[in-house]
Amino acid sequence: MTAHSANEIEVLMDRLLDLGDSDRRALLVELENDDPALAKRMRRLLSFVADEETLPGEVHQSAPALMTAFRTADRNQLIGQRLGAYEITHFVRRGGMGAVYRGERADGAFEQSVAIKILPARMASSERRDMFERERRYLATLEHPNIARIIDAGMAPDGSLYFIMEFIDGEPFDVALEDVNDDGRLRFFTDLCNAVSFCHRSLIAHGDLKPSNIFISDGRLRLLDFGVGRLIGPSAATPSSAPRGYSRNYAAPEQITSGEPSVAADIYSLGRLFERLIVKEKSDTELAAIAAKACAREPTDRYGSVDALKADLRAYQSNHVISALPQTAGYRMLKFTRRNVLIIASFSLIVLTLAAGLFTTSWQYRTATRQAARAEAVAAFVKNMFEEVDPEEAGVKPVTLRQVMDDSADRLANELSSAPGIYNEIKAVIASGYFGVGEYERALQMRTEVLEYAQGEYKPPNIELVGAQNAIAAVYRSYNKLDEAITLCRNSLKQLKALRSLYEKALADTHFCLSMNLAQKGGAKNIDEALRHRRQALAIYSDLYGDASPEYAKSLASLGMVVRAAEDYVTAAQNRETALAIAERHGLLMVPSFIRTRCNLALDYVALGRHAEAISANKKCLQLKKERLGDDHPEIATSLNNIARLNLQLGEINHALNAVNEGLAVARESIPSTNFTRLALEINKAAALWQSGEPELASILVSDVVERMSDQLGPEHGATKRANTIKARILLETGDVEEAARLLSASLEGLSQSWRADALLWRAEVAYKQGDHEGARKFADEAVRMRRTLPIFTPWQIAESEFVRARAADDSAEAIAAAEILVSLPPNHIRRIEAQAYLDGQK
Amino acid sequence: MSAIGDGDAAAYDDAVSLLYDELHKLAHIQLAKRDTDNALQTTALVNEAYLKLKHGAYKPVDRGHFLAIAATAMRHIIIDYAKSRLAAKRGAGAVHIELDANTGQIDAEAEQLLQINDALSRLREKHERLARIFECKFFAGFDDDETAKAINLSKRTVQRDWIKARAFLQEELTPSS
Repeated sequence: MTAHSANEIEVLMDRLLDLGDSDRRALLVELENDDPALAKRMRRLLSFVADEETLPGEVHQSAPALMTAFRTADRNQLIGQRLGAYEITHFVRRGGMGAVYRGERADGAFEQSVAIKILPARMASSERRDMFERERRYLATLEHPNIARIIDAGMAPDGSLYFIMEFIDGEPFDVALEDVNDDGRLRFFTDLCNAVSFCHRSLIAHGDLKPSNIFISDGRLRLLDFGVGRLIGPSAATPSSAPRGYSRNYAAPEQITSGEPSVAADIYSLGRLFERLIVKEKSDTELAAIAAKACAREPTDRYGSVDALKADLRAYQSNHVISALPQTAGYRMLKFTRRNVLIIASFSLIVLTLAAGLFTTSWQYRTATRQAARAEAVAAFVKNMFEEVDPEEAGVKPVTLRQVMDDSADRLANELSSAPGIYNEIKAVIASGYFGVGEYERALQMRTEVLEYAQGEYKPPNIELVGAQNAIAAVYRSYNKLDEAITLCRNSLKQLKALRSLYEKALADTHFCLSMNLAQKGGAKNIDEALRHRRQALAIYSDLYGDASPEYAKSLASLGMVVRAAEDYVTAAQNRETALAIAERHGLLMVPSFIRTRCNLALDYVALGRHAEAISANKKCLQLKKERLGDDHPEIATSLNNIARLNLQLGEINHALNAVNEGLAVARESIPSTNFTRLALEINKAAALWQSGEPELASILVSDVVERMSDQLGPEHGATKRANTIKARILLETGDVEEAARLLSASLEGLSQSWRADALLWRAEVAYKQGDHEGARKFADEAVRMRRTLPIFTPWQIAESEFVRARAADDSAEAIAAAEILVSLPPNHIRRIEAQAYLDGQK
Repeated sequence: MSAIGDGDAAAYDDAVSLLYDELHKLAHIQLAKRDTDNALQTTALVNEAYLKLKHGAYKPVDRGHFLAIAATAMRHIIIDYAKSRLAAKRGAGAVHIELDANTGQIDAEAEQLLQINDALSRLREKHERLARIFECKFFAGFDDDETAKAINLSKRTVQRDWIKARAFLQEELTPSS
């Protein structure tokens, strides 16, 4: 077999393609004889020649269409996911290192739009994980007007890192600069330099300066991804692991090979941005020289700092000579200032390290007062520390970082040993300094002391202990004592997991508590919010314990009160039935909270018109409570109140009276007169008294209770309003019609549906009494409509409303029909007496 | 092709990198402007970039030369996007939840795209012209006229070469056992 050049193959292919089918077959047969391998290959190639549309591989559309499909998938994929307190709402873009989404705060704490950047897990270099926590807190404290703040960062369970950043609604640098004139572009570039310079002063090299990381929003330049490189670690930030294009156009050559972000590399990137986006007129030699110096191949040939680059720009703008051009006259001067800048810069670095370190370890975990005292002590210490070495005062005397740290460590022992908390915090910072300059022995010693102190102060799980352990583990790693380091890290992780579940539980408990209280407070807005917190609480409980767990069931049952407040009785009943089913599987039906659930379920059944089930649930509940809690437990009173209320509903006023009396007997023993249950019992007693033909007694009782309720709960409280409607009805009975009318009008707004139906009916009766038959008919119409619609009402209650309406409308046929239902009520029921009298009158 | 001789390789790369930025920027604007379910209009992007750069800092030799460079830049942009997508995918587990069937297929296509790109590099070693035609038509989405202009060939040749390019590329993708 002979080797064929690519060209020969192509020519042969052309020939084959030119031939008709039979000629082609003939040629292939001929080939087969000469060179079977070639023939085989050509046959194979021909088999790939298909119609115009077929693409190689298994793709079905051209690359631009595919890219659009990728974007669409990106857009939709993570929407609705939750990261920390934030929910992803939109896809924004995909960059070299990861995807950017827009998110909203989802825990209801407050409204906030954020940008969420998600980096793939492989970028989370494992050795940086212990640093991550501290770093992200440090970053969250740094603020600069031209930098989009990192609000939070975290690691998803799979190890992906996410960054929650301030959301910047603007255009990327290159897009935004399109319509900006030369001066404007230079101004933006100066802002950019300021932002980068701030990064450097905060000991952070950006590492990924490029147009898509710089936004112009409302005329303000904002640098994104500040600190991301630092958080994900040097090896991860390498643009060489990132795709070829965009980043590469701005990354320094040494950064492409080593991946290490650095001040020099940032200066290079600034130079590239300057060259590509700022300098429109290439022939301007001075600007070209500035760009060339910033982008010098050797890092040492570039500007030494962003400030030096800025100084040249300023010189250019004010027509001074720039350093990027050889200027022998200015050379010494330049060297001099450069040297000073370095000394000054190194001092500010130390100060910032200390300040930032102290802040990092102390913030968030302490009360405001302690923090203030601490900050003062620390500030004083740091000030003293640098007084002697201030370059202004000491002349240009180079003092090394080592000297400053050694002095500080000595003075620390002398001055602050009486304040052990601060003493140890500063010790931790100085230990980091020693660690940074490679003095592992001293670092280890100091960090061990810090841990010992923390162990005396705190019990695990504790974040201080974790920090101290991780710091020691970092030193161990430098010694290659990996087993010791790993043990420490594992312990830290254990503590953090424990802390996290404590935190999660507390979070859920807080949502729960807020939800219950908001619901009890009432009002549409509060109830909406209560429902939101209910969902959040349940989501966390479900995450923590699983949704077949007693913990979850208990919360679900209790939070039924919240859906009840929203008048969603179906969900309330379902939730409670679910909770009881779970409790039964775990044998927990006799636990007080689940007994309570059964009682509450009875209330839901009442609202749903499932009266028979309500009666048996109530009975069961009362019996269980008595068995479990004893006969005179306050909760017995609650149950009896529910039973009384249900009996009123059913027209069983004598049972109702028995229940309230029994309930009040328990309540008077065990609960204060201001207690909600006691007030409710008394109101229901008043209602029962009125309905059993004792309006005078009822009137005395109700006035007294309403007064106490008003004091206790306020006149606008839902329960006070409900009590007032009952009071009004009783006053009507005792003849105080005007007051009844006033009270009903004042209470009508904000009542739940079933109470509104009652109040309307009573309003109709008041109108009738006042001789306003037309008004009475209107109110009664509405009451009849509601009572027929709402499942809570029993047949006699519907008849009651029809009876009132029929009389107002002078419709004797309907009145008789209704009265015939009402006469089946107990003999002393006021409605039965009224109905009987009407029927008698008709005869 | 005369404009892209061996000696001009570095200049060609520079021009690609410049166009990469420009097209990246224009793509951002185009995608931000519309409901992005519409396919990326590469031809419109390239035309817009041409009009802008014609009078700007970079002076393309001619329109054909410019189209060829734009096709390469477009390929880089698309491949970078696909790579970044797959990188995110390989790393992530919990954050990106259950994959639906559609996402799975999209990932497979991204994977395919990278394989085609690699195969294209191999094809370029042997059949440079065919590789360029493929780049223009598949990656940049050019039609036959634009492709002909970019590579300085007749439209007929482009149509014939397109058939061969796909066959050879398929061969690269599926080496015989």
